[in-house]
Amino acid sequence: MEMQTERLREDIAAAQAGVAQGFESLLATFGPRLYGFFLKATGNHHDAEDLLGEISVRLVRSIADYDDRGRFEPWLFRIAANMVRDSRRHNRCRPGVISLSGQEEDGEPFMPPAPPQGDRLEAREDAEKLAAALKSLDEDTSRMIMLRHYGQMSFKEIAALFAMPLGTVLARVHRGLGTLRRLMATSDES
Amino acid sequence: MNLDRQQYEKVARSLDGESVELRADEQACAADVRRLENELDALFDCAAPAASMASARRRMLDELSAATRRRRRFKLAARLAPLAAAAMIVLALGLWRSRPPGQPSNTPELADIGNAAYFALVHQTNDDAALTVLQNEMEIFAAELANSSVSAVDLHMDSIQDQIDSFWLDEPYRSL
Repeated sequence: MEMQTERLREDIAAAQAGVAQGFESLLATFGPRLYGFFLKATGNHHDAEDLLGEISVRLVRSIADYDDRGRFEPWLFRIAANMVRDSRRHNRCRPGVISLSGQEEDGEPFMPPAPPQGDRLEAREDAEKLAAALKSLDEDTSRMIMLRHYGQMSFKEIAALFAMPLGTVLARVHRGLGTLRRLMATSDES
Repeated sequence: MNLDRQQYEKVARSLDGESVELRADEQACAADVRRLENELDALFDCAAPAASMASARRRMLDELSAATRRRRRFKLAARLAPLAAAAMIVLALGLWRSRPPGQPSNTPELADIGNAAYFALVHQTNDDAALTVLQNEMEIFAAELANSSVSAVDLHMDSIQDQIDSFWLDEPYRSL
């Protein structure tokens, strides 16, 4: 664990010195979790991919502002959480686009994903159930739970991010986790 | 398990790793949160597609290259600012010295030098404030020239040009 922290510190220092290898290493370490966070938060692969690219750019622009005294993950996922919030606001203001030509917005023809098989099918069904269950929670609670998992954030850090009392954050996370578990169990039975 | 906000706060601090003494109902709550988080952890995990990671990496490296170029230009501009100011002084002094009263005007050649100096500055610095000052100076200069009578013979254009060139090609500039 200590070695991992030391390695992370070296990567951050390299990135702050403008060394490409440092940034690449940070992306390799946090990219998958960031993608997972964005995917669960937006429920859409294209948005998740776009946000992952955007946060990579922001990482380059703001790594100099990162203070080594803090923890890196909460700092990074705070940026990610704010990006999701901004993206939701933006999407609410944007009228929906419906393609009549069978093409997506980027002009590429729409290709349905290949049907998964076996374990992958089960995993995908679980992920879809979880995404649906997360949507049934209020936005803040859903993001708090995701920040706990993907951002490894403490309750204190989440409370600071949402400007809420510590006790309120835990009460909401606890209630939200209970609801998620109940919904997942219900959908399994049905 | 009905806890009040203070109790939830104690449990949260305990789950964050602080040493907090919990009562039985608070301990049960902490255990329940841990259990629920562990149960759901596996469901949250998902692999990032390789194409998404590659696209993010490309955008990141593009931004890094752009940032490096911006930093280099900024440093260059900062180091050129004194040189630019010196070139303007040389130009102004040269013109002032070579302006015998009552001679015919040589405004076109002077304007060429001014334009050349300005062109050089525009391409060597991206400091908007410095460019605004220089542009104002050049406009005042041009207006003065339009009203002056300057002899083409006594202007020593080559000498002035040489002095400007020597500033641009001076060691500090070449080492940038």
